[in-house]
This record gives sequence, structure tokens and C-alpha cells, in this order.
Amino acid sequence: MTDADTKIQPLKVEGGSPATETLLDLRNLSVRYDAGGYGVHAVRDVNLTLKRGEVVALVGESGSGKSTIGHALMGLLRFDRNVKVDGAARLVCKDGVTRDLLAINDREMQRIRGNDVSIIFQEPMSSLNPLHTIGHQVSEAILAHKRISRREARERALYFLRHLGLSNPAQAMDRHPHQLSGGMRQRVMIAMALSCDANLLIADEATTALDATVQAQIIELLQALQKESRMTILFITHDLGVVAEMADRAVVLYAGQIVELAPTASLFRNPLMPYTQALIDAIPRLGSSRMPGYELRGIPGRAPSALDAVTGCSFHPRCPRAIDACKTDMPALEAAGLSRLVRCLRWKELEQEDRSERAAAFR
Amino acid sequence: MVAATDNLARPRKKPSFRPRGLSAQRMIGAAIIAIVVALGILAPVLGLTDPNESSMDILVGPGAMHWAGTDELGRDVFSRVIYGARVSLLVGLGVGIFATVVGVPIGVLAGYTRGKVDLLIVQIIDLFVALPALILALLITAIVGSTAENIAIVLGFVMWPTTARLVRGQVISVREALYVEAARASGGSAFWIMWRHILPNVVRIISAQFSITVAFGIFSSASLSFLGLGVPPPTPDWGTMVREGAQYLSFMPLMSIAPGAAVTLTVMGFYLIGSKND
Repeated sequence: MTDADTKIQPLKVEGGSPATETLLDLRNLSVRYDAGGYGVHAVRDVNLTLKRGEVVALVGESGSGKSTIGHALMGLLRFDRNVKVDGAARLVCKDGVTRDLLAINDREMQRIRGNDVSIIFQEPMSSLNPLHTIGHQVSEAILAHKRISRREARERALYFLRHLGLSNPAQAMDRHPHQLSGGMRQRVMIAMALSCDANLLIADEATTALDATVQAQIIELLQALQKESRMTILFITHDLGVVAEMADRAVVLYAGQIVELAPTASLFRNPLMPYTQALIDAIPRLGSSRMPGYELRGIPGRAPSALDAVTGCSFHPRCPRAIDACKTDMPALEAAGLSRLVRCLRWKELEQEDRSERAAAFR
Repeated sequence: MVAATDNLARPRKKPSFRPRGLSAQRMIGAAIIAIVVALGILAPVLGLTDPNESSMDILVGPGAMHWAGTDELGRDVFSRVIYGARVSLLVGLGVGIFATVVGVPIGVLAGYTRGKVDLLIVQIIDLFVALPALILALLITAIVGSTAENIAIVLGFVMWPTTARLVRGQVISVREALYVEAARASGGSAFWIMWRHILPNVVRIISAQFSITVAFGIFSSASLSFLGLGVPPPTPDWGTMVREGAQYLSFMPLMSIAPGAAVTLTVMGFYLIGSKND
């Protein structure tokens, strides 16, 4: 045990140029579920690179495979025998060694979980064991990776609970989960996730189950923590508002594939893929009901079940701008300008069309 | 830092006199067992007749001297019934402890790991469950000899699969809980998750099953004794007493009925404690 280990360390602040160094390199990630004889391709060929200190949002409808990616990175899919994960996920660990999270053995993965990568789940109400006190559970998470005494772990836990803005943290340590509100529990979950200084935090719909006010608080909290510690966050959500608020880059998933990847600002300003456009159009706007002629547009149809094989572009049955070629030709993920990727056969045409349309409207 | 606006929920009210989960049934069961245990332990200081002392009063009916009469050797039936609680309780608890100590770890392991280990364990459990427990116990007891320890171990041995199966079922549902996944996500080892997160959540069912196993143990050991494979005489034993009394049933019914009632009452007490509907 080194001296540095025993002291409570402040959340790490690393210098250097954070946005250039690669932290995680995801190559050809594919996940197949075997569901009673049918193979369900939940994630198909996802390539993604996360830089140190970056916040990347994974956006998509239910069933688009976004949570599956998070779980694959945590190695939680290993517990399900019916899941097959392919590809590579190379993570630069804290000890400086790069490891492929999909290739290492269970014992190594156990050391990575919570230590190098940690996750916040969607359901703070059921993510804590009802039988143990908060202090106990946070300390246990710390003791899983740090060779320190129980008392030191408790002190560290208390430090993190206080840091996360839990009112009366000393008292909360001795409370059981049912005595805390949802927002408080999510703070506890975040404290657990941060308590071992993981470099990569996966927020799997971390705010979805919370009410709007608490949601805003938690987002604010995550932003503050991210600024302070420069950790990398993979933010999994279906809430575009959260994406706009949090993310540096956004990745849009549809039917297990990346369909668009762009810096957040450009994604909202100029969405290239018709699916992204439709998603943005489907956000209700404040006061919109009083705007003449405004109609909240949904996306017709529903997300394809991963069971039915769609030929061509997986979005074509719901795409308002699909042409015949979309039904047969599978579009590739193409580079579309500066650090943007899009998977659409017609994106160039459509961009032209939209631009002239906008210009016409302006005139 | 971000301001915290949500407040701690108010602490729960102080527990009432009757803790939650202690239903009327369980209270009655606990009362019965408390009495039986107290009588068993305090038997020597209650001023009873020596249960093994023969007298000239052979097969005397109930009266002021002998509350439940005497048996064919002139021993006091009431005293023997009270002393009989000792062997029955010891054997019953032995069965419960053996079945729990063996069955719970196996059940947790099977339920948590699933896969091949689980498959193997389930096959073994099914094998045991398919065999009639009492016949199996009878057979083994006949081979190893019927001392109190042997009977407890043999009955525990035929009972652990039931405990294991029950625990396994519970574990399968608990292992899917989100807090188990969260514990994995924070880097917990399989053993730690089973010990800290799974086991505490199945304790309720284990304790209920323990009580029911004890009831089974007492009942079955009485059955074995009745069949002549009980604790060797002259130790007072309820099953043996029922058997011996059976010959005189027509004119000395109490000789069988008293120990029979003791078995019934004790078994019922343990069943009531273990009853699940609260």
C-alpha cells in the first residue's frame, strides 16, 4: 500500500491537451443475441473513437442498440450465454496499458469494471441493494479496487457523497436506499461510479427515470464533474435536449448501426441523415402550439425489430425521402465534411435540395 | 459545487411491538416452540419422576401420581413425554442445520452460476426429490445404525435438495436485480456478489425453510422410531413410545396419544413459524 493510496485524493485534474489523446477505440463492434433460434443483431459494425476528456452522446430510439454498446464495454454481456460479442474495444487503462475489453478474461475484466470504466444505470431506484446502507455500498465499491482499510474507504465514500452535493452526507451514509429520493439515489450511484477515478464513465440513460427538475440537477452535476475531472463520458440517451446540453459529439444509432456522427452543434444545425432530421423535428418546441401552421411531426412507422431483415438502408421503410435505390443498396458510412460521418445514399443531393429550399424561403 | 435541493426522506417510525413479518401464525408457532424447548431444557428441574425408573405400578391409568399413567415397565408416561422433547428437538435441529448448511451454498451456486454447474446440481436434486425421502432415510439408517446423530445426518441428507431447490429458485430471481448488475459493474467478484448481495436477499426464505425442515426432521425421526429404527432404548423417544403404546391402545390409549400429541404440537409449531403467508 502506498501512501498516496491511503489519502483521499481530489478528483483528478490532468493537464496536457485532453482532446487529442485516444482513450477508447471501438472497432467493428457487433453484438448478436440468440433468441430462441433467431439471431438478433442488436449492434452492427460500430466504429467509434473516444478522446480523453470528451463527452460523446449515443442517441437512438429504444432498441437501437445504444444500451447494448454500454453494456458490452462494461463486459456485462459476458453474464449472458446467449450473447455473442465481436470486434475490439481497446481502452487505455490507468496503468498505461491498452487492453481490449472484449478479449481479456473475466478476472481482468473484473479489475477494469468500476476502476477504469464505470457505469451509471437508468434506474437509481433499483440499482442499490435495499438491504445495505448507502455508506456500506459506496465503501464496498471502493474496496473492490483500492487496498485500503474499511475506515479509509468510508471516509472516501463520505468525501464523494459530499462532493456530489448530497445534503447531510454523514447522515445519508447510515441510511438505507428506500429512505432516499430518486435524485439522491442517482447521486449515490454517481458517487459509486466516480469513487475509483475511472477514466471512462458510461451514463446509460442516467437521467431518464428522474423527474424534470432532478434531471436538470443531475445533468448540471455531471457537467460540473466532467469539467473538473476531465473524464470521458459516453452519454447514452434518447433525449436530444440532453445531447445538446452535454455532448461534444453525437452519434445517432438506428437499428444497431451508426447512421450519423457529428459534432453536436453541426448535428443540430445541419442534420444530414433523414432520420436525424426526423428526430430533431420530433422535439416539441415551447409555444409551438400557438404558432400558425406548426405541427409536431412524429416519425411514421416504428423502429425495425432486429428480427426482421431489412434490405438496403434500414431506415428506408420510414424515410420520407427514400427512393428505389434505398430499398436495395445498403449505404456505407461516408465522411461528410469535417469530422462528420453519415450513412445515407442521398445525403449530398438532399443537402443541396435543402439548401436551395432554405435559400428560396429566405428570398 | 452543485447545490443539493432534494432532502433526505424522513427516518422511519420506530418499530412497533410486533416486528413486521411476524404474523399471528408465527407468534403462535413461536409460543408453542418456546414452551416445548423450555420444557425440554428444564425437564430435570421440574421435579418429574425419573423417566427411566421402573416401578411396580405397571400400566396404571392416569391419576394424581402419574398424570398420564405408566407404561408396561411402570415408567411415568408424562415424564417420558417431557424428556422425549430433548431427543426430538436435537434431532430436528440437527436435520435443519445439516440441510441448510449443505443446501444453501449449493442452491446459491446453482442459481447464480447457471450453465453446466447448475444443470448437474439440478439433476442431482431431481434425483433426490424423485426418491421417497422416508424410504431412503429408512434404508440408510438401517445401514449406518440408528443413533441420534446418525438419524439427524441421514434426514438432513435427504432434505438438503429441497432446501437447495428452493434457494436456487429465489437466487435466480434475485440475480436479475439491477443492484446485482450494479455490483458487477463496480467490479465485485462472483463470491462477493453471492455473499453480500444475493444471500441476504434469500435469508427470509432460508429461515422459513429451516423451520419447515426442523418440523420434517422431528416428524420423520418419530416415524423412523415408530418403525423401530429410532434412538435405542431406554432414551425416551416419542416415536418409540407411540409404537410401544400401540399394543395397549384399547385400554391405555394415553400411552400412545400423549407422545403422538407432543409430536403433532411440536411439528405444527415449527410449521407455523415457517409459514409464508403473512
